Amino acid sequence: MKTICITLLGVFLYLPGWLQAALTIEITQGVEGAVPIAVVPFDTASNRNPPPQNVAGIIATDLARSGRFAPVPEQNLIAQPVETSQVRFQDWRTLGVENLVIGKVEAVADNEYRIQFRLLDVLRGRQITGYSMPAKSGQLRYVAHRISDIIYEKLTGEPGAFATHIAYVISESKSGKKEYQLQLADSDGYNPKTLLTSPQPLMSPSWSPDGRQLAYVSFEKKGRAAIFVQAIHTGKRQEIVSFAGINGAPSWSPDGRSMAVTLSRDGNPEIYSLRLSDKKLKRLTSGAAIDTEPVWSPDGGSIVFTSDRGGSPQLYRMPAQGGRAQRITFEGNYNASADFSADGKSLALVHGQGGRYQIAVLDLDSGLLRVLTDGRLDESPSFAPNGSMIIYATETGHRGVLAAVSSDGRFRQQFSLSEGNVREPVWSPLVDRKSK
Amino acid sequence: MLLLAVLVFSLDWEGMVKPGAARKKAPVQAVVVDASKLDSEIQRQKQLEEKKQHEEQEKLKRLEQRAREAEQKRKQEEERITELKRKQEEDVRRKKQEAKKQAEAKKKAEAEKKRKVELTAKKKAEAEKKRKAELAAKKKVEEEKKRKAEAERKRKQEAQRKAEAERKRKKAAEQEMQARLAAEQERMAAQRHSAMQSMINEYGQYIKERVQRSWIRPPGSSSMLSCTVEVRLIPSGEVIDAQIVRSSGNAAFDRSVESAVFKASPLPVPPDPEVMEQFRSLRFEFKPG
Repeated sequence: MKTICITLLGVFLYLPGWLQAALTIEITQGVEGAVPIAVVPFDTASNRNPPPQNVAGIIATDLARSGRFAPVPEQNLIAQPVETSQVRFQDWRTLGVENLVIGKVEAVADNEYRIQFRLLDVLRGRQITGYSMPAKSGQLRYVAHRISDIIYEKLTGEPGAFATHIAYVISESKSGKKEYQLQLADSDGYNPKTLLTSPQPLMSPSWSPDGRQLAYVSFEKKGRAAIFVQAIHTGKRQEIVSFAGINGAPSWSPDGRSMAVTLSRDGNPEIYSLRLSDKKLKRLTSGAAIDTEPVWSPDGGSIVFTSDRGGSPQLYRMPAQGGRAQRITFEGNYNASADFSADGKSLALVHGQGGRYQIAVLDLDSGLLRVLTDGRLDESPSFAPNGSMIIYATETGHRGVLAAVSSDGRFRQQFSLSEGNVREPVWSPLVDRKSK
Repeated sequence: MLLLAVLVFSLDWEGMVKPGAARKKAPVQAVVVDASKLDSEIQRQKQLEEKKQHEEQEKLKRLEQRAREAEQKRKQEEERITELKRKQEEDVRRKKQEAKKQAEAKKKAEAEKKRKVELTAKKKAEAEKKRKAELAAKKKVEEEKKRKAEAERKRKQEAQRKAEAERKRKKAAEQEMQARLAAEQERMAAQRHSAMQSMINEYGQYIKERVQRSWIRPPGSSSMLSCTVEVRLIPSGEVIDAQIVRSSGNAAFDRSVESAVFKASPLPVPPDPEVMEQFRSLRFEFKPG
């Protein structure tokens, strides 16, 4: 008995020692910023002719555009390793780099390549992930975006949205005649493709949730507005509604079965929900005010729209089947063109104050509005499907161009690709991976 | 008795009436009749007379007989009554005698009973007296025994008390010595502890500053996020492992925390090996804002 007592006592005496073994240190301050990463140019030594794309450059630009990463400028790279065995991690640590991307592009046939890349953890001195991917020369940009997505997801825990598309409307004056085009491009604005050309205005493109179709408004029929749906791959199009007056602002429901539209068939611009299977209409708003630009919440439960019922254009939210609408914007005299983030927690919108129109994000829980851009006439914001970035139209030299801003406003980039006046960009859903 | 009297009277009355009626019939004659006839008549008369006389005599005889019988009956009755009376008297006398006898017997029985009761009581009293005497004797013996035991117990208790007091005194002395020793040790340990603690605090602060300089928070991450990372060091201060033990729920935030710790490696650690032991395993709580 005595022995047991002594043993127990011994245990108790030592216990506090165990408890305080893990000394706790509180860290309360840090610099908010992008993670330093080095993307070493991919080795192309095995090719007779250099590949048409700088894969590492595309990846670095993608990562930088997200605002989450700060790629080391190429001239600052201390070494250009190709294989893991060539990496001196300590050197990269000294440079303050947390992650390193290395790789090579090998030609396997004419216009056919194999891209190999590795994402390395410099601090722990080990590989995080690595892939080998085949690509035809025309797919090199796409494969580079896919690699950006993999890196982004590995390091942030959220899916990347680089290998996605944007659709937009571009207008040009050609020999005195206006021409409108509906175009599709990679998420960085490269590889533009024209889906439709019309002498009459094209407006309000909207992606179907499966990313296979676009709805838009066309005035091709003697200047009368009609809503069309067009399949992207086949180009096949179909007129959906063409009532007297306004037929505008189509927005697909998350289940793809309905579309919210703005119609003035009953006199005043109101929001309707249109069942696509039988084109059955249900009017959701009423009153003398203008109600337009409907967007569905990702859960399909509610619709946010722009209305001037309070005297100035503001955003309102109502149940998806109609009913009492609640005003959700209160700052500034203009808040319109809402777009939901994929998680349904925030809205991108155009915020007008003092004659300037800028892109802002409204946090729906807190009601806090954060202005992200500083343009004079920024419009048509559209969230990337992972919520990391917002694409929008801005104006430079009286010409409309596309720009992207990271959703925290830290990083902005303009796309100045085409000649024309670019407007109304919309970012595609995350479909490429779903369909593959 | 009354019945008897009535019976006697009735018998008397019948005997008196019957002879009276017989006498009334006798004087009815005096009729004239012819001489020829007379002789025969006289003869017949004479025979008749004789017969009549004879019948009268018979009747008398019967009466007498009857009277005798009645007399005899009366006498028998009297005798019976006398006998009855005698028997009655005899009965009364016998009863009296019996009652007397009974009373005597009862008296005797009571006397006997009383005698017996007195005898029993006496015997009982004697037995009780004897028992009490015995009991008292026994009690006295026991009390004596008890008294002796008590005395013995008290003696032992006293011895024990003395032993205990001695033991306590020794123990107290020992304890006092130990306490003095312990206090001394404690004082030294406290000195050492406070020296160690100040070293721990000092180096904790160095480490904190270094990790904070290395920490790049993900842009736009909520200031509500926090996480805990457990880090293992080798004596040179180099981080050999970092494990998130409580995630913020945000992968980028968690990653930034791990990176901060690794980037800060090697951490400034105290040169005293004993203090360094405290730093072999560290916990960092990252909580911005």
